[in-house]
Amino acid sequence: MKATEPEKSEQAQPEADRLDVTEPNAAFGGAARMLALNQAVGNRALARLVDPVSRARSARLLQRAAVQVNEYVTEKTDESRLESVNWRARYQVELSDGRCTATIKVKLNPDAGVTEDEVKKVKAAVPPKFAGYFSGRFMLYEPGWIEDFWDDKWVLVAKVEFVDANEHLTVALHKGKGADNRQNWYVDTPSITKAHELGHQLGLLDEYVEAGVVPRKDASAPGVFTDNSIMGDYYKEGVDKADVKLRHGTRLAQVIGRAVGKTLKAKMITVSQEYVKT
Amino acid sequence: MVGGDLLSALGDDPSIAVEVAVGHEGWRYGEITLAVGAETGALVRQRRTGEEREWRAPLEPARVRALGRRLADLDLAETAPGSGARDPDDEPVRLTFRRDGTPVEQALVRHSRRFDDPSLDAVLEEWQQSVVHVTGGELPYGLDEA
Repeated sequence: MKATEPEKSEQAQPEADRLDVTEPNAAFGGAARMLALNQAVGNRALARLVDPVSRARSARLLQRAAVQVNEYVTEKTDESRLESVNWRARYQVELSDGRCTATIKVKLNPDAGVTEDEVKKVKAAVPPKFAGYFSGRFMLYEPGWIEDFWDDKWVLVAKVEFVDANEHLTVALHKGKGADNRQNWYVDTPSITKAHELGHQLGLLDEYVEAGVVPRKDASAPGVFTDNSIMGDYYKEGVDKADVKLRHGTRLAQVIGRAVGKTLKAKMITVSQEYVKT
Repeated sequence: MVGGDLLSALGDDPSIAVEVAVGHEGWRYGEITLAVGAETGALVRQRRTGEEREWRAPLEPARVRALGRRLADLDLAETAPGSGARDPDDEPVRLTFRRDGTPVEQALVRHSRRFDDPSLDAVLEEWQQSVVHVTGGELPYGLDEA
């Protein structure tokens, strides 16, 4: 399946568009929207909607077993190029208890010269860095009969697990510093770049200028963003400013939605750190 | 492919020069070119989003000859990119061999091929050590901690 190119119009959201999931009434839009809903659908329907038992029953019905994302991702290259940029986004997703847990299982293959301490260092540094960017940042939702009131919602929790078997991704681990890519990491390159590479594994595209790649061929190309994106040129824009953007959540909602058979959308959210502690 | 004898003469024959350029302007530390000839010493040029910086320094003759030998060992017919897929962020490596200032051969390969091709790995190892030497460690991969 051809990858969907990022939508240029989807820049960072104003704060008012963010959903605070630590505020219980926020899921229903607050008191004013509750009153509006009451006027629209009546007392009985509203009672059913907000009744915790009914909601819990609905939530249980929405639980799913783990589903494997396995999506072909590609970027169009200049016709003069013999090679193409493509890979498979592979990971596991599970919808349950209001969470969409996306887990990438990574098998590390250290080079002969890489020490056990260096392997431990990478295994300790990458999961929290990855979760810090991608976990608890987006609410995925399936619009309901009345959008914003009947939606099914899941906070996206992003995890990386290092495994010895049944991996989604094998990464060769090299000594020192170097040019990391999705399948080759260097022990001493910054962890942000390993989080960036894992972003590709989730299905996200690069957002910096790259000659020969049509959607990013120059600074005005539609796939190029200069808004401090984790998938962009954060080396130039500032590592400390790099972050995820709504378009990344939208893209992940599309990829995950295809895997679970739903039409999902995404909002950016403000949540507690519990989603980052994976 | 340029003959091995020619590249093996790098550092001794003033008519021969090579350039090894890794990366591209819009990502990481940019396109970093190491240019080596017998008379010019070593030049490192960094192109980064429209900006250009240069460093110059003498390079030990032994290191120049080592780079020439590594390049002579390369079989670019085997190493050159095919029609297959590549990963995102897999950087280009451009090799240019010059005689009397005129390019006599150019090749484009991908950085990740070094993990399957010990000859390319050896060239890139020489490139990295030379760039670190010429730039005082500022390039190719920076002074920052992981």
